[in-house]
Amino acid sequence: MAKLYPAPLSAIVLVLLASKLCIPCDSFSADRLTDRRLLVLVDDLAVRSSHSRFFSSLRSRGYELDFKLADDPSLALRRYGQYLYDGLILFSPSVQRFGGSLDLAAVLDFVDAGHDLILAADSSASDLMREIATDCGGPVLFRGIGHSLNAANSLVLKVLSASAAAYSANPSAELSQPPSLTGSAISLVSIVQARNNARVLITGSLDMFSNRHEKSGNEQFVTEISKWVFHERGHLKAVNLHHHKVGETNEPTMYRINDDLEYSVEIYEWSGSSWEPYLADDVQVQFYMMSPYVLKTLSTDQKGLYSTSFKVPDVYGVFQFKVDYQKLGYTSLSLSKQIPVQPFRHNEYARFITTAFPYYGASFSNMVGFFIFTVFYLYNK
Amino acid sequence: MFRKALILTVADAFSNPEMIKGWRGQNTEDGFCGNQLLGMAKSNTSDAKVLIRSLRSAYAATPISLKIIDLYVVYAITTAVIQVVYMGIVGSFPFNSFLSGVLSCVGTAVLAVCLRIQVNKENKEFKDLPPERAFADFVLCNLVLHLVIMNFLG
Repeated sequence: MAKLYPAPLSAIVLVLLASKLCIPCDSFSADRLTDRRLLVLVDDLAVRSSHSRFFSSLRSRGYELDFKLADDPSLALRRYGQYLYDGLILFSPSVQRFGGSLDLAAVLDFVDAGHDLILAADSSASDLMREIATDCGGPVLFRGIGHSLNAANSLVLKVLSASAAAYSANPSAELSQPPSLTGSAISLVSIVQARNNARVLITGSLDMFSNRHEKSGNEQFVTEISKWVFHERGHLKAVNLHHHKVGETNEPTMYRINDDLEYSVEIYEWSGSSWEPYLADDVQVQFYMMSPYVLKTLSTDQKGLYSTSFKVPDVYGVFQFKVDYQKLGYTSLSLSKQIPVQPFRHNEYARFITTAFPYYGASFSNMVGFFIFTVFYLYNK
Repeated sequence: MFRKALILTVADAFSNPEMIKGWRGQNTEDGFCGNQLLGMAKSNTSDAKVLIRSLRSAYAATPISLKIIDLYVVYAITTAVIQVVYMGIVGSFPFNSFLSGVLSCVGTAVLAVCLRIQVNKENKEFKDLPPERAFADFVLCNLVLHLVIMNFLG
């Protein structure tokens, strides 16, 4: 016994040291597209097996799942200021309070830092779940499995809504007044893309993710929607922003009015495994100073390069090249590059003005007339 | 030389010996008294005609050199009027060029008129001024004028 004892102790020490070396996690960034860690909070660990197909499809796409009970006292999203996970899945509809250092404010900070969230609830949804859903901008009402969207919020979208004849009510109680949520105002699954490009999925049915509905379209729907939430679909990046005068290749520090210039940017889309060229015909660039003086649609060469050329307006000042692209379902692109525009130097104006030629002609004809006059005046008989 | 011949022809057309006699008031033609007796309306138009004829005859008596100066002044003023009409149509965009052109014409006319005043033998004020001096002043002033005009023309 005395000989065996030191070995497990050192093993325990090593494990404890290893666990301290946590990989710092950030929001979806271009350098870490695979090997991302997700925290899955469940009410009971049987969810792991009843929803195993969903989780195995996540694992096959490169995610590392960490299952914890929702009231586990060792729960923590952050340690020493670094996030431990890249995404959060809340499959714990009936939990009243999270364990450990997790609470409503911590979950909202997590989303504000740019991370993604899937929240599933069912008819036993607790107030905590409802509060998280409300604060993410989505539902205002949680009635059983359906919910409705805040009409004033422009960032939410209903993905799956009930049919026109549906209504939302408690099935075991008698209806004493007409239901307040009916028809297609009921949203069953809704998504939010925040302004920092963090994505949130909110649904009123935990069963949607379970193994029970293999034969329906659930599996594909759930796979695709989780791909979207975790930025495997519809994620754009814009790189290599260039502008230069027509005929040159270097980027000048300032332009002059009435110059011709070319602008180009490369936009790629993440396909889940690699960056593919993004194809669209509605990306626009503005030449902006307090208001857009020039607005042009960029044309693509089908390989991800978007470019256009235009003439600098007849106004001098400090302009910006602005690309403000917000397409439904894609991350929003917000690029801006400042460039000054100077007026003509005094020797860059036109030397002879064509509308002034009569005046030039009159002045010269007066000089010639003076010369002829002196000749006639002096030599007349 | 062609221009001098043209001036002389014009001067001859204006001279009319009969009118000169009438203007001096010695042997008036019968037509004059007859016009006055026939009534006011007729006399107004005929007075105008008489006035124009008398002006023409007096002008015909001026020396050739003064007539040359007068032609030069008329040319300068015409050019100025043409430029003003052009500016009214097109707008005053290069305003400095417009001013330069117009002031060149006006300055030329003014200097020519000054020369005419100083050279006219009937002018008592400049009796003692030699006409060569007047012409020399005219040439120098014109040189300064055209220098300034070329500068301002842009």
